[in-house]
Amino acid sequence: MTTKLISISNNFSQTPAGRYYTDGPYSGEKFRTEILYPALIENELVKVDLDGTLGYGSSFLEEAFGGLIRECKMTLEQIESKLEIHSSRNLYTRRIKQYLVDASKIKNK
Amino acid sequence: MKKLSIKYKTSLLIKSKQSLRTHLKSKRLQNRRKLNEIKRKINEQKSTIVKIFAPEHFTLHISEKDSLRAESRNKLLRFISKIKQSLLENKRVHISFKNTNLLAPSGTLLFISEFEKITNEYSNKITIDYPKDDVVEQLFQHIGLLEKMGLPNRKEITAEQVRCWDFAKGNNVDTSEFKNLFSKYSNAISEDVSSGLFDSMSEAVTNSFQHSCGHQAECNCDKNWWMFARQQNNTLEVVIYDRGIGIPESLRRKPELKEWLRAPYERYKKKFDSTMINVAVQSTRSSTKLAHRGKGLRDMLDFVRDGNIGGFFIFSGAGLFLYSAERKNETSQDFIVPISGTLIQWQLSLN
Repeated sequence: MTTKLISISNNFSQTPAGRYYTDGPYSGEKFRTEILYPALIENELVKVDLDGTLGYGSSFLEEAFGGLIRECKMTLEQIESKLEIHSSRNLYTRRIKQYLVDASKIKNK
Repeated sequence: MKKLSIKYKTSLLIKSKQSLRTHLKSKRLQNRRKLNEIKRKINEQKSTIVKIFAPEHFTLHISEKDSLRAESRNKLLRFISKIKQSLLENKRVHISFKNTNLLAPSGTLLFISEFEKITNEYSNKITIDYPKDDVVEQLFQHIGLLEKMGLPNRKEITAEQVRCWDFAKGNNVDTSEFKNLFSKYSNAISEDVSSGLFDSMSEAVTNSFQHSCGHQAECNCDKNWWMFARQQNNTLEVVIYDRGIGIPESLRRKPELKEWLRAPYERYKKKFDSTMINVAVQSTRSSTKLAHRGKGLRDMLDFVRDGNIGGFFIFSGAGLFLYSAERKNETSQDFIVPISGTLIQWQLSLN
């Protein structure tokens, strides 16, 4: 089983912020498109480590993770079976799960 | 060759003298006209230089002493508006800061951003003088305002209340400028508070960028943001400002709110900007109509509410939304003079 570990602070930025590419250099859309989604396609398990950054605004997290369902056409079940989130702040893990559930609900409406 | 008669010679001489006299007269007239024109221009310039006095207090902040602070806010906004109006009337403006003696982050940030826009448009029509108050001069020097206006820096930054000011600005959502600020206060605030504050600031900057003109598409409108942070006593104040369309206007443009806005129930309340800010804070959707967006303001409020620390202010248009962690309550207020855009302020108690 292939496993990929992504540390956002080391592999992307210590100051991730913004939703779309047009917002700024380290947006949620950029992280999803260039790092997260390719890793999910190429590997059976992807572990994302959120620690080491200054923090995450809701726009970044929603676009990076909720966008997997909305834009990349993945299902909630596929993501849950392939994605593990590690963070010393439970708030972020909770929010990401919520964004995934919300995006799935909207998609299935 | 035919010899000219004396009579003819005399007539020629008279004619040439007359022509010379006419020429000299017209030259004198021309010179006099030129001189008068120069005098008129000098007088015109003198008469169109308007001297505008900056108010004593640069603040938007409202405390328990509400009425006084609201007056300060109105004076500051009228001062900015007077500068703009005079420039629109093609007058030259000289700003005197001799009365200014209090600079709060909210009012100062608003002034700096407005002043930057004005000086970019009318750079050769504005002059300023050195502030009379030593701390005010040090702060204007610290943030580069004096240098920008061609006044050499002449102070050593010694005031503690000036050295603790951090200033950043940007025109996209690149928050790497916040790194210094967070490393500076890493020992004074817990990791949770630090992350929560960054989340909120990053969201405020994202909002300022995405809602700058109410359009989703890329456009050329003003997408700048400005940030001030300062530590005073045991409190860290952080302010982020953008000159977009503001939260109330952004919501009023929201198509799905049209019905709600037209409904007679409490319709009068919907005219108030503070009501619209309240709706935006409580809402989970933004003016983009997309269900996955618009959670930022609510998260900012939750951060202060859950952390039980300090206060949270949103100034937008004529409205103010305020949450006090100490009193655990939300209040709102409307003012006479609106601001352009949105200014968000956090006050956090330091360890």
